[in-house]
Amino acid sequence: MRWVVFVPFFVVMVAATVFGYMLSNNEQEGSAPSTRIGQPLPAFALEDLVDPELQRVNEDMLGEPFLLNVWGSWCPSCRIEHPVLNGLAADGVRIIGLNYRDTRDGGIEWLEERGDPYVFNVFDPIGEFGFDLGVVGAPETYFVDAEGIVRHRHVGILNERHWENTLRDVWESL
Amino acid sequence: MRYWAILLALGLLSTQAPAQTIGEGTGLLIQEDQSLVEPLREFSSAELEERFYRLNWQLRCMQCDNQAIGDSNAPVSAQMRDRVARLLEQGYSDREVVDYMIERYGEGVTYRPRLGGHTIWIWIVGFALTAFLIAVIVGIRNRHGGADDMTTATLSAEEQARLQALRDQNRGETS
Repeated sequence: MRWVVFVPFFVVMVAATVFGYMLSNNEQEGSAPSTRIGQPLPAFALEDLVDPELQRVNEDMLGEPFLLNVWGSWCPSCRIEHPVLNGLAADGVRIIGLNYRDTRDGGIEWLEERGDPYVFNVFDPIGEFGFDLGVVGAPETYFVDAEGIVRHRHVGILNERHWENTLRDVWESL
Repeated sequence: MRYWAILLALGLLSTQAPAQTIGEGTGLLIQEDQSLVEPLREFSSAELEERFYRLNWQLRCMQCDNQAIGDSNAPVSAQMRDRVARLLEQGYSDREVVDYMIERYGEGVTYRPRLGGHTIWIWIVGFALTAFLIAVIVGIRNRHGGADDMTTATLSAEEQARLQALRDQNRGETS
């Protein structure tokens, strides 16, 4: 029965191992759990950012895989991310923008100044669609397949390192 | 001692200085931008209002992690408060409001996780560990009880005779 003395020790060791493993798994930078993964994008009907006459709905996005990039001209991190998006678009990645809690003028000016990597932009000034999507802040990027099912969510700036390490594979698997 | 006093004084100075400027800054900001002040909410009934404030403390701000939405200035929290108020007015129950938020932001959005899924393990592991420890303690006690029995165990006739012989021998040696 002497071994009983070591039981607490083993329990603690096992717990530390499990938690340590979970923590290190969690630290995969940028990837965040989302309730929308494996689910279709929430339904929306919003104006186009550039053309207020144009109504954008889910069907406009579908047909081919795309990145849904959440941004706003008020968002300092988006400034850093924007050149990366320009690069990806030049490489043929289909990016659709969700202009989040922004003003129309601010958004349009941003695109004129910094280049426009987006196929089109959905204008969501009060963050309605963003809310249904579970957006916490900009920038965020959702990887969506041709049927409109969300496959991956990247929170924060998407940089070249992220793309080369994991996100390119995610994109190519869509 | 004096060294600590100096450090403490420096610490106080350095924390006070920015606090003052922030105070002045916000004063100015509020004057310039009234939108920083959230308007008082109107509810159709006092009951709804009470439920609204209760839910405000039960839902987590997803941007700031350790604040309830009722305690947070983050835009996401403001939006969640708006949505909670709207859903309550539409006749949602508290549970339905929480489920609505979980659907969007995940289980982490509520400070009172639902029982089920992976949260059931929190309970199972707790009770299982307690049961296990009780079993171990009971096991140890029984072992000790058994040892006591051993000391009072009766000896066979042969052993009695041998014991007697040893005692006699011992007595003979010492006397």
